Amino acid sequence: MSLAISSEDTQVLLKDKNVLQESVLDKYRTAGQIVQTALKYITGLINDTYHYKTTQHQFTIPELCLLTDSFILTRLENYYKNKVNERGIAIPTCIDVDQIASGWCPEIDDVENIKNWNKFANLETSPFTSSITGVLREGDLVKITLGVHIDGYTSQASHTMVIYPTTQEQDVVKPAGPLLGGKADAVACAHIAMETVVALLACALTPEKLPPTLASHGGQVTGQLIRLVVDTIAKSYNCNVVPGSRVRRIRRFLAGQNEGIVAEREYKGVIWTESHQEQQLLSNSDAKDLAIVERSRTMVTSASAVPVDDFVVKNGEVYLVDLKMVPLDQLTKKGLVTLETIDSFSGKSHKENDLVARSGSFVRDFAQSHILKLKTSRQLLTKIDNQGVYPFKLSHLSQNNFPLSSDDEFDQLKKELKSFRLGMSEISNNYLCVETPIQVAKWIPWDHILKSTNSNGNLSYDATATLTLPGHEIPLPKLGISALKLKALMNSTKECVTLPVARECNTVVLCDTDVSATDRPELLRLTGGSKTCQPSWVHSKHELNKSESIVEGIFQLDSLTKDKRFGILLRETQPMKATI
Amino acid sequence: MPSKNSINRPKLTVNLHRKAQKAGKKRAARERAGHYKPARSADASKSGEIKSVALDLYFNDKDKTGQASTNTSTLASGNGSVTTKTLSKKRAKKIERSLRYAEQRKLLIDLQAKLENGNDDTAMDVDGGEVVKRVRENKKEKSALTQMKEALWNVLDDASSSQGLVIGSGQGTTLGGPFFP
Amino acid sequence: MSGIYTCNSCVMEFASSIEQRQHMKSDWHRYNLKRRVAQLPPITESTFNTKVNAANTAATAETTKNNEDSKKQLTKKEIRRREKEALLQRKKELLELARENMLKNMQQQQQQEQPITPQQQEEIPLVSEKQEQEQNQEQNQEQKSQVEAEQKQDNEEDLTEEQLAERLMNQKLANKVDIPLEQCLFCTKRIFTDFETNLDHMFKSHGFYIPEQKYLEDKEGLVKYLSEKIGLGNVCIVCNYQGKSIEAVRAHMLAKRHCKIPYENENEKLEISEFYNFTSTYDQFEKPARKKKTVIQINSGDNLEGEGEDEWEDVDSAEDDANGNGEIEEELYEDDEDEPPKEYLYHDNVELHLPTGIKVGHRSLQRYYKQDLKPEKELTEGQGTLMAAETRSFVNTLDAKEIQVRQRTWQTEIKDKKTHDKRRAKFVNNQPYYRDQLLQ
Repeated sequence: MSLAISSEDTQVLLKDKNVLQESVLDKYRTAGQIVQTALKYITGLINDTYHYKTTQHQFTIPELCLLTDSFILTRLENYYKNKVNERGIAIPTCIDVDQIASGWCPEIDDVENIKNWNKFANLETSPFTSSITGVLREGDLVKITLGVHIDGYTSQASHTMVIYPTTQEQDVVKPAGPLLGGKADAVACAHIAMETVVALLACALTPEKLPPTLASHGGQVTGQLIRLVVDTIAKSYNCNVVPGSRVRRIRRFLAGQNEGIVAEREYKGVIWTESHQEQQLLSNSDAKDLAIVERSRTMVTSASAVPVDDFVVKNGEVYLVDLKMVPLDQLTKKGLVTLETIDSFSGKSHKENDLVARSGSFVRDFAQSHILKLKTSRQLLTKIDNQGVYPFKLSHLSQNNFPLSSDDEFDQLKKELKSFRLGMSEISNNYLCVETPIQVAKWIPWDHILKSTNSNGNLSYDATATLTLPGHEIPLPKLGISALKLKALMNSTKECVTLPVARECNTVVLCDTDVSATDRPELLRLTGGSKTCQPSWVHSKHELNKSESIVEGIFQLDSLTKDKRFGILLRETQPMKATI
Repeated sequence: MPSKNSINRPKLTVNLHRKAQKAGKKRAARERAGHYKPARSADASKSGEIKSVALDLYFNDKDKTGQASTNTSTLASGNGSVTTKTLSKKRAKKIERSLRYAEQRKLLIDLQAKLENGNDDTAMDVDGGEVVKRVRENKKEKSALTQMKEALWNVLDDASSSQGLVIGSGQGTTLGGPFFP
Repeated sequence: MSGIYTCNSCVMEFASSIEQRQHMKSDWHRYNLKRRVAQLPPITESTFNTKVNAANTAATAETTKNNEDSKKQLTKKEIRRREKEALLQRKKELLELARENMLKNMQQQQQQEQPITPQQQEEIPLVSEKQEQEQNQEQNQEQKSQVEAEQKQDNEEDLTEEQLAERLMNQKLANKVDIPLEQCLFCTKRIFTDFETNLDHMFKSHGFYIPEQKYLEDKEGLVKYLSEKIGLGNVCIVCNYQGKSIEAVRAHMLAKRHCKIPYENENEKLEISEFYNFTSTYDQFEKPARKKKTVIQINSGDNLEGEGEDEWEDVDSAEDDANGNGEIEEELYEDDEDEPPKEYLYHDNVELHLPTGIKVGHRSLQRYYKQDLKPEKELTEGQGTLMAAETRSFVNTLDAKEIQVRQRTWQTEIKDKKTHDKRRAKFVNNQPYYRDQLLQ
């Protein structure tokens, strides 16, 4: 590492600046408000376009992404101008449809490219039709993800919307009916899990109010408890938690945007990976204590960078709750839910329904340094470095045409993007930037994994798998199956299927009495909540079984949140008024 | 890369590469033009399977006449296109015969299995030694990985029944309402 | 006498080997060996013994043996040198004292703005003169003067320094010759109409050049000071040669061409600094241009200042022949960080620091000056936080076992590839115009 930070600076940057006080909370709250407003804006746009059909122009996904980003920036102009050094978009707005789990935010100049790369795809049967054409269809699960940071204090949100067929009753456009089936399971599951985890985190402020069935796990809100609750809910709805879901503590400038690149010191959070599914499966058998000799490469990282469940949620911390669920209703066998990274190699003889695309957003890896050859790329790198530490899209780097002010700027932006692409190729070839991957949820039957031979063991190394958390480089450590092998397994069976994903993501602050609005400690929901993240109309045939002890605890938690006097205090950040 | 006229030119590899390249290009062109439908990599493709014109013709004919072509066969000849290939009566008879044989063989195998299960004692003296040997070998080379895999297999075999979820009182869960949030 | 047992270094012959051995162990033999090494003829035993005796007596004269050893090594020359040094040291102290006195008096003079009283006038040069006299004399001269002084003053030792100085002062005062401003400092009896023509004369015929005239405030004061130095102190203005009379000093100055004001080192500059005012130059240092980089052509052929600094050029000359041969490019950096250097022109073994603050580098270091280094990167807070939270280490640790495993995999991979190639080559079709039926 070329740059070292002194221990005093480390203390200031990692500890002192993260102490929750009024000024910090205000930055968090303002960022949250902008996110809420932007979420409202984009859901409004989608409703107008696809439900009420009041717009002349049918907005496509890339346009919606860009418009929202530009909306966020114009809103942000009014807050903390010249008061903080860094503020901006924390995550480029992504609109993931159905099977895509994360990362779909194509540039506007990629619209034609994506159509061209996927021209052999059968648009009637492909699950990715909406993503390819950019036009949403009825029945789509639309996951909107966005985020804002002010001075590094970050608020993020994701919400799942459903596109309905509409009917008109007395001049009121309504959805024709609730969403049914597997997708409905996933949406309901994600929503309920989110509400429960938020309530659980609120209980961390007053651990004595924790319901007795949940308190039996140590009497505190720990990582294990969070995992147990989420897994229970997922199981009751016949869903599975998608790898990459997490409930993690965030800090200033460390809001999970660099996960997998920076091995973060003192990582605190629950993450879900393939290895946890393996563990869960094994817990049913008698071979729990069987250990396979690990032959992994020795990565020299400090132990605090490895995420483990063994932590206690404390006051004054900020948490990111990011949950993704897939339904298992179509599947008859047990299988592993994993993520496949989409690439843009068009020459391969692919299966008809595979998606070919390139990701639109990048993250800078500041630990790498290299003297670039091209002038264009040097200029671009300077722009990137000035832009901050958060993921960015190339169009964000345009000085003149972003945020958008008029329609013809779309074309100018496209022209500008050409030179950016040239520079970006050199930058990413030298590992100065890493693409944030587009991921698709996939299911592989366990029997296929067990049947396969694995001669190289976990020694094989996938150079393209960039974003892995330290300590979790091998997806299936017990079976010794590396990421590369898993990729091969995905392609080697026809049983392998893609699954629709529902996603909810909120940022919450655990305010102690010294910063809370009332005299009691309270949980402040920076994003999400009833104003912006109301669930769509879905009906799942599953429900929580009250006879189970943990489910009982979940119901008690729910009643606690409704009890204003003796329960737990939850507050929500409201979206701003429509006009400024 | 040595020049075309170089003495030490690695002729073999160069020729191989060129051929592979050309073949690949042609194949890609044909694929693009839609000559391979479905694509070789597609799930429905029969590429790599044993090919027999006679069998294709036989089954196609049967489809057309028998089921009024409900499932559209993907074979070129099956799409109603005119072919020069014909199926002689004799060949058709032979195919029918071999199909019959195959059916009988299947029945025979089942019968044998039943016999073996039914009276183990009679079969013991034939296969006994071999079975014992196999068991011993297995015990010897059981590594941690195999144990792990076996444990997982057990779970999978057991779980197939327990996987079905308890569906509460049948009411299910309803969220949201008839409006656009 | 052709014995077997001999000693070549002492030219001796022995009867038996035992005797020879005895001899070889003796001090006399060792001494002769040393002489032989020094290519000196051997000495007889008796001479050696007398020498040893003499040395022994000398040693007993000294109290301690250590002292004796050191004394032995000291030559006469050395002793003399030491004495001289001690004397010089004393002289230097006296000189310092005198200078301080003189400066004090000068200030008084200026403050009072009065016609200098004879007594005041005397005081200064008298003291200084005395020390200067001492400083410049050779050792024997010094001794002589001391003898003279002894002759003049019998009980000089009893007198204190002050009294001595006073006496000398009086003596000098008696010999004082006033040189008016219109009179040439160096020629005898040459009086001009006014001061300026006098200066002109002195400049033209004696080369009496007044340095830094631009900043000179009190020209008359300066000349008056010099005239006092000559007239009253009888001291040469350049080398501080002490003449017996004003005639002697003038003769010395004319003969040695010591008719200029020395203006080389700091002490010399300070001596006449009272007549100057450099305050107008100070603001040059206060706002130097930031990082102005000038590349000037320097002709190394001419304008050589001295034999040692043939590569160095001052700025003026460099600018003068900017259109010269131009083989060398030197980069000059404005020295923007430091305060104005105390010494105006100095050389720190790497760069030459000019009074303007420009640093001149040597052309042998040209490659380093040509480097255009990347400016150090300043991290924003966000980047700093990421770096602080980073625990990845980019040091490659070499694990022998791991490398072994990896090598084995590579080997098997290569082996597999080879066998695969071999097998493929068996069925390869080398017909160049072969057409694959499948593709028709």
